[in-house]
Amino acid sequence: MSAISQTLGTLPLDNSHGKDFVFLKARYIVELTGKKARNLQDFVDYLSNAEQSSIFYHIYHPLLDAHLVPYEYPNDFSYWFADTMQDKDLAEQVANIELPESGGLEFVRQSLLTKLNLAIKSGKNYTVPESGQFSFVNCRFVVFPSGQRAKTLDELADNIAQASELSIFYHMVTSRLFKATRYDDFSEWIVNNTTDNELAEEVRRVDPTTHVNVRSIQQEVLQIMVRYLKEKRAGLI
Amino acid sequence: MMQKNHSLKEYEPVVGAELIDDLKTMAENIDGKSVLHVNSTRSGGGVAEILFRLVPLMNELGLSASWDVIKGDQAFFEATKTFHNALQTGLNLASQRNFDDFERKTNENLHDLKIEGDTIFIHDPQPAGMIAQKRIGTNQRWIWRCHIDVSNPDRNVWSFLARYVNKYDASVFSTPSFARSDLSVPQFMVSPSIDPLADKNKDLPRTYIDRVLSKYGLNSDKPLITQISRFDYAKDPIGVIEAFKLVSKHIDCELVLGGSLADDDPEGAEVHAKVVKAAEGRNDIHILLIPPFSDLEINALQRASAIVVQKSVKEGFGLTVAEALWKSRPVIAGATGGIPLQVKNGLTGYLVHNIEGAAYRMRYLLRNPDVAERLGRNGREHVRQNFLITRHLAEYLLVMLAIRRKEAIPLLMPHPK
Repeated sequence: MSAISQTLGTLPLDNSHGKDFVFLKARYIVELTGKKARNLQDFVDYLSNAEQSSIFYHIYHPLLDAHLVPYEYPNDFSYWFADTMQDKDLAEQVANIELPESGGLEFVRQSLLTKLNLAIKSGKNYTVPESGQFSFVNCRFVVFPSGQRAKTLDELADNIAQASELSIFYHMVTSRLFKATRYDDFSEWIVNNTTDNELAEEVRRVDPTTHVNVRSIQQEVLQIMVRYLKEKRAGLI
Repeated sequence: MMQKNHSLKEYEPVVGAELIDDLKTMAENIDGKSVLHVNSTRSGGGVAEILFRLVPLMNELGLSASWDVIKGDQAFFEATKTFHNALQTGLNLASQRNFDDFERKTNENLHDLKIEGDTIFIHDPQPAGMIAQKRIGTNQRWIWRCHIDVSNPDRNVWSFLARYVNKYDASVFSTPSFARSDLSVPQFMVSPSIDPLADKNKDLPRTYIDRVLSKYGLNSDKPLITQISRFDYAKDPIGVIEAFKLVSKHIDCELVLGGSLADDDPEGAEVHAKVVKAAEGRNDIHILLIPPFSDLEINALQRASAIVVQKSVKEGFGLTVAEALWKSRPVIAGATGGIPLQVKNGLTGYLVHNIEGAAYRMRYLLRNPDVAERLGRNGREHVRQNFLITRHLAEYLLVMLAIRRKEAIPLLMPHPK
């Protein structure tokens, strides 16, 4: 288990098992590694030894930045393969990286390496100019309570509606990836603190990586909760 | 004229309340509240501009922040300018005399300037030698903040500088491409920023803009192409003139090259003279020597422009790009340094690689005002999200937390509202 997952697992405000759901959020800072890939073999070598935070930053963090025009390729790796290496095939192969059901970021690394090693075996290993090299970075982050808290499903829905993008991203993506858990924090809390397992199952089907920004993830989770609570109040559940 | 400093509350309408609250939380959770910034000039250039804004904001957050400037003489600044050029171009430019002059003045500064504080930010190579005052074995943390491109430096100068940098607790660079694989200290990325409330960036009435155009003899009926920057070879002002000459054969427009001469840049006057010569005989090319603290006029010139150019061939970050984007101006800029972080090709402007490319994009945007408007709109939002001073401040606080906290993920207690 990585130092980061150990820390997240023992945060005093780990919210999946407590009575209240405490909304957290994180702010991120990029740590530079100086490792710069100019060809696919370099890229594979650096990726093999990269910190988990590096994979997180290059693959998932772009969701937080997607405020402008959604890029055709949703993560740093696929964008580099398409834009700099001019390899649309490889770019598409690494564009569609879902959140892993198990194994967290280590699983993501192995999936990527499998695809990239196959590409190398098929003869792909061109070198790009120095100005186009891929710079691997890590990220560090601090976590803090957002000030929101929920005791009931209604309160959870209210607070999700008002939560910031940083908070939604933390509970739907960051926390899950670094704890290497299968599910997001919201559905974990629902399962552990209510009998509404059906709702939890619906929330679990939300895949953040299919969205172009965090607001869109938030809207989907909220719609699921609003519909479920409405049906519950009507006695349909 | 000194400008007003703004309170954090005044930034809320631009960046939102959440970021302001988070700044307070982060600052409260930093162990060791005194912060000292050290650089080599109080006026001219982006670093001084940022510090002028950043230090008061740090103080408002409850930190005890101050700003000191090392002293230099002509020989020292010639040495540091040579180092700067050697670091950015990779050329073997520095002589033994430059190294000797640097060390001599550094020793004098070490004697004359007492560095006190819990966190010391040393900006750029000029004051790097002040690290000799680091109190080893204490909680004091030293951060070397590099604003220039050291990705392909001259080996001699870099080796000389790295001896100092490796004694710091961390370093900070403006873009990932500047990171070094041969440094033993942690390296963070913090992009520089602009202040949306400063005279240089705030909204201006059209009447004022017209007065500024009139003052400089500019024709407000013609599309204006503008580059605002130091007179420096790295900004390629001659290249801008050449590109403009290609465009102005077909489209009636005017060019403004405006900039100042910084205290710590002995080369500026020479470049300015060459630029004036290159524009000789052209009444549609205006070379403006703009003194420091003429921010309102610079703002007006950028806002009056149909296109803003930053045709750098080497660049630290190129904050004039962010300034122009914030004013919803389309930008044509050299694909170097931190510029590609700001100019997303085809989304917020165009990246160019030579004079012909610059000329083509000037012509294209002058003929396609709808495209220019879309790029400008995107550019403003891009800057709002990424290049404002509040984000910059947040990242400095994150670096300070990261180098002091031992936990893999620090958990911060919220700021009491």
